[in-house]
Amino acid sequence: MKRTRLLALLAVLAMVVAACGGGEGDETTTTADGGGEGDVTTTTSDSTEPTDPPSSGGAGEGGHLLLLQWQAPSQANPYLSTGTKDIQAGSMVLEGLAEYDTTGSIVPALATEIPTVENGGISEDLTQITWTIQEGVLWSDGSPLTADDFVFTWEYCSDEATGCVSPAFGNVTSVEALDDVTVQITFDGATPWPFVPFVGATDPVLQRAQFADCVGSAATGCTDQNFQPVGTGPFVVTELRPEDTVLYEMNPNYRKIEEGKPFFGTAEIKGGGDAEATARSVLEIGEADYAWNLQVAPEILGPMEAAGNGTIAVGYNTSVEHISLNQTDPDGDPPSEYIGEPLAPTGGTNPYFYQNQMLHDALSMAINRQEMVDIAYGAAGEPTCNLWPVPGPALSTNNDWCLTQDIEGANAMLDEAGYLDTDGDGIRETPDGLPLSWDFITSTNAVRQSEQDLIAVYWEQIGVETNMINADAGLFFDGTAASDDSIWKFFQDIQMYTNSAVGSDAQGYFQSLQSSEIPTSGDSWGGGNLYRLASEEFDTVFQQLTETALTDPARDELIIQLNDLAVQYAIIPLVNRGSVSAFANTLDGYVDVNGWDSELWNIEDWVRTE
Amino acid sequence: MGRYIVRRTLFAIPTLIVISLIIFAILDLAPGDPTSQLPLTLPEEIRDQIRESLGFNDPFLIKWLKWMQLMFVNEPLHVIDSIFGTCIGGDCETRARIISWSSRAPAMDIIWQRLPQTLWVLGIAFIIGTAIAIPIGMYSAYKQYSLFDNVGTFVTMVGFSVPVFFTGILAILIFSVWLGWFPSFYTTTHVVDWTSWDSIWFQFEQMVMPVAVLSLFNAAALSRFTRASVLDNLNEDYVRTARSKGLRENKVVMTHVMRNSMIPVVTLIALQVPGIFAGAIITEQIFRINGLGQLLIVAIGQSDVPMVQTLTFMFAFLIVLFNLIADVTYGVMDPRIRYD
Repeated sequence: MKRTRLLALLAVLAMVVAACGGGEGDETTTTADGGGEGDVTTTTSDSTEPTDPPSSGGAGEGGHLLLLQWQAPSQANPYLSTGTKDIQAGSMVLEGLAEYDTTGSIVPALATEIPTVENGGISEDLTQITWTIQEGVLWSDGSPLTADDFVFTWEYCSDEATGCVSPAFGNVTSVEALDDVTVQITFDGATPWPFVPFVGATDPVLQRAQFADCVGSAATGCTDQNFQPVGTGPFVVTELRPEDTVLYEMNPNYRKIEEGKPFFGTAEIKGGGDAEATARSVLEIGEADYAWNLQVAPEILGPMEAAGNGTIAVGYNTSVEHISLNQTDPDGDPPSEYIGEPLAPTGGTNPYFYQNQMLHDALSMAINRQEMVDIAYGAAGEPTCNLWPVPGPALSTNNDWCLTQDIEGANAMLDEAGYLDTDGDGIRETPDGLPLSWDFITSTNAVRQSEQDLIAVYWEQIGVETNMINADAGLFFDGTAASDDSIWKFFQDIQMYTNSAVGSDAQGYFQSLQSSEIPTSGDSWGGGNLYRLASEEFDTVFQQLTETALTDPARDELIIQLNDLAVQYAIIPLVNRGSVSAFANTLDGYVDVNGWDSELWNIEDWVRTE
Repeated sequence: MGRYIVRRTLFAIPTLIVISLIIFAILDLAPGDPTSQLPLTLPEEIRDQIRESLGFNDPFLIKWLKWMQLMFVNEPLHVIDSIFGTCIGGDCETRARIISWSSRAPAMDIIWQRLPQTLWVLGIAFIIGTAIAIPIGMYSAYKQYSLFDNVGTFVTMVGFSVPVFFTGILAILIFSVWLGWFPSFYTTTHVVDWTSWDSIWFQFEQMVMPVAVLSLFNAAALSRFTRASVLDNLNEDYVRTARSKGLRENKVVMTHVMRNSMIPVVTLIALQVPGIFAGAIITEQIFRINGLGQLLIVAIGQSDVPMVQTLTFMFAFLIVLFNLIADVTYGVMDPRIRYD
């Protein structure tokens, strides 16, 4: 009898584990750093800093700041982080040379100014960038910050055994300290966008003295260092309880103390619960100051905000929820791979979607994106027709027709192209007689399933049938590609998820859409071109982009071209997703939600007004 | 009895080894990737480096044997060393331990850190639940179909059938949102200072809602069980005999009936104890008590295999242990039950 009990328990455990297997891969993917293309010339320091807070006395006199992060930090070293939750926790303590403000522009943090080719900070051949550190910056333990610490951070992260999660140093061949305040980074080739190493909360500088014994395989044993990194930022960690709570107090050696920053003497990141519960704490109960990552249905969040204790704010970056139309044939042999060269395949192309702009446009036109946002996202999204949605000169307007739903137009296009319902079952067939009926997969998630429901209804009106399926996020975003539901394998006709750029680097983003980046079984499904977009024109324009200097206005035009080619037949952009946070009404100085960097990037400016 | 305990204990060892192997196999077979929460733009080489540094790519048996060694040799040694200040084997500084993949900290330290809040809330809810359930159950049975019994039946059926995630949210809505009496989350960093009323009051405030909700749930099930068991015994011949001997009613119920009725109830209680350590996953989630249950869920979500493995194994160990305790208690309560 006892054995039976045990077996029953194990069975239950097995089910729990199997059901939860992977975890939420998508909802937290990236707040990485970022910025608008063309914003690099913003070099004046503090140009976007908020106006000084109302005179609030000296630093540290503001009491306790309670920040809620339902996904609690695991540790505070962003180089070993498992998600944005850890990067936020680290960003209160650690700083890089520069950071991104709420508009996506790069502003100096530890550096004196942003290097450009014009001011000599970036070499003419675009292979080197030279930063100058502000004089007199101290670590929280009182020792001076030197260029050598940057050299160390590079050594730390570039040692493979460290397991560093930042891709920032992948193309860096050396980081040198020219003197105590000058850091020179050399890349392995011309790098028009050199603002990745030591820029943003994902890539701060670590102290050599503290982390010297943590390089390589020793990194794992350095619990104290990872929990309480010595930093130059406004706070220091006093206690970190993994997946639970982080306690901070003001850094006594912070360089802006004389300016009265930070206002708060102590701070706390409290984790646990879910997004709804943390939103309730700030908006309805008023027991906390800030709640992060509130992907909560609009009909729940709206009434909470009406309670009057706080406000909801949204920050955008490059996160776009989009539909991918598989360019290869998931039913082919081998599945979802071109036979022969991707640019001139001899087989394996998708019988519906391969370079079929008409079908893509009809499907896109039938979708009511505004309705989708209203129902599924609320404040947390806006309709978009572009893969590069960043406002500015590099924003394409050529696809804006998709913002208006046009069922009749879509039907007319299909009729004209000979996609008719010949057998009267309500589903159109291609001229070759294939019914427009597809599997449509996405991750298991309430928002995504309501999107699926809406799309199914829209497409039904143009004679298209979809079989909506969803897979656990852990399987869908399974980077090991062990699961056949993995987005890299793409063994379906249609899939839907969100992607975003690392940094504001459009070039780095579009690089992954080259035909050479198509995942194949022979390459363990590595590569970022999940759509299997194989366009010679795209590859050519991308090559042009890599040869165009960052400050060259022609870049914007090339980015628009690449965006338009990407969304020509393989990608249907739907929603530009924002990060939603709640701020207590008594809080001020945060300006806005920063979608590009850590949302706590300017925590030293936060004040309490009352 | 002694021989029985020894035999059962010895038998538990292979059982636990098999359990650990099964848990390990399930976790290994289940797809999942410790890098699945990282940005999609992260290159595959870096993902591979991370997996390699975590030991994710090792063959199954190697991973299991490594874990067994850490769990049964290194971790106990670490405990002994930290209690007695010794250094067995001379490598206490560098001795490998079970490391969580997400926090890169020793899993056992995190579990130890989580115990207080789980024991505070679940332990007290368990004690309160048991303390009210047994008298209510007994009195309900003794006064079957009385007003007390009917009301009690109604309340316990409600407590039993309304899930904690409903009563919990309701409590938060009433006492946190509308009345503003209690915080809706639990501060784990609060250390109770028994000399300070403020500190004790703070602890009381943050515990009262989860304890009340859980106690209701625990008490409901247990009081139904007690009532049924007492009812069975009240109709037994020995009760009539005792009464006809002229024993006082108090003596009949409290001594004879109670002792016999408690045998199944004690089993139920004993088997609930591992659940206290396993944490009430849903309750912890609702009231944001970051205890062991929440730790397990978070670890599963992050594919933190060493943490999940260690936690589930510890729960399995407790279940085996309390099964044994329950069996031994039978023998104590009813001398007719003999295992030798």
